Amino acid sequence: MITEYVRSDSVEEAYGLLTSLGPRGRLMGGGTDLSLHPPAEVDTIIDLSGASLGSITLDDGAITVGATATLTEMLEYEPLGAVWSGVVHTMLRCVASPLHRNAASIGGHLARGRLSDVVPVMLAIDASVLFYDGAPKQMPLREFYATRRNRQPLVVTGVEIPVDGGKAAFRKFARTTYDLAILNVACGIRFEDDVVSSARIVVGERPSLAVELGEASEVLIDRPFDEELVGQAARIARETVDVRSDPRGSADYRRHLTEVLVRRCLLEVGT
Amino acid sequence: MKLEVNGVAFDLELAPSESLLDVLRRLGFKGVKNGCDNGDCGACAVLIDGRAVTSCDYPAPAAADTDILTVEGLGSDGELHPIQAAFLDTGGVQCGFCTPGMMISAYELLSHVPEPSDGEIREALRGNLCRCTGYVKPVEAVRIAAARMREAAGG
Repeated sequence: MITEYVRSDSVEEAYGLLTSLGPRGRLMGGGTDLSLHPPAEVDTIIDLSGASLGSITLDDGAITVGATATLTEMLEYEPLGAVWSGVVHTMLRCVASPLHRNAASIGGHLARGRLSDVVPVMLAIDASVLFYDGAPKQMPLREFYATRRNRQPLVVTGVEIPVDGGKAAFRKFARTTYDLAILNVACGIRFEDDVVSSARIVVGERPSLAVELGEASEVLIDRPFDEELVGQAARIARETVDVRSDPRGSADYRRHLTEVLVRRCLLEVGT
Repeated sequence: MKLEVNGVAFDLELAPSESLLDVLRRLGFKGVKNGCDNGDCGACAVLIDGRAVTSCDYPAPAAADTDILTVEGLGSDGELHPIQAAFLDTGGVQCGFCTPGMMISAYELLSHVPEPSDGEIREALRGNLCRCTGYVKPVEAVRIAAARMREAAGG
């Protein structure tokens, strides 16, 4: 039961509150999820909207988006639409409706991790998460989740997206246009002289947290990027993806979707 | 806590867990509809600092120090806003439950995009579920409202 609401003026103050409250405290970005589904043990909401984390900047080969920037503000930031084949904007248009994108924050998405179209894309394009846990830190987003660092007390302060000419694609499959995905796939590919130099294929809403499919990604490296190779990667994706059933879809259906969406993403990147 | 709704300041007490939807209806703004109370249907949409959001999943304390605009604040001096008039003229209002939310979404769109395509109108209304109209008439209403507003602005 929420009994306290605190608007924090700074990241340091928010972190101090969070550590003193323990599981009773929860940080809030846009609040679209937390206000509907507050965990039972939480009694204090710490609103970050006053902590000056809303800016979006481009410098040093990276775009940095502050944690409380809304998804709409990201959509309106044109440089984000010009990198990685515009995949961030393509994906954001698939997220819920403008009514949610106007409130939902990028930091809230990254902190929660699940139930997200944002997270698989950020993983595929090598984004890093910025956070504060007594000192400002930066770490690749994949490491943030793989090491379960995201479960530690910390304040997500932003995300950094590299701007280096990679290509990317995103596909979401849902019952209706703004429903949560039954499954989603993102890929980020770098080419050198028409040959793949690095590849990340990420599957989200399995329905667990999004993961990179290592074997399917690696098969693309240093090989001629054609339909046969794409088909092979998609089949490996289907065979290696770890999925389960939930009310939105069965494990079998999710395996099928994985192959189809991986193929579509890779074909889009290859054209 | 202070909330400013349609240009009027309200001083009120609220529970930290209350949604903006519940508080607005308690203050008498019954045009803000509770459709699903789950962030799905858009009937509770209001503008916060010019941005349309669902008020059922918006914590009321987060709306302090913002300008809130509800459907009641669209018209002025007893005159309907052009968006409201166009919804009536086209039959974009049927049972009417989703209408306030649709008008709020349309208001935000037209404040940024004076001459929207049908695609842009549909994208703007995609968070507002309607079970009566099939969306054709509301889209037409927004298109007509946009034209009338451009005309009134001398463009």
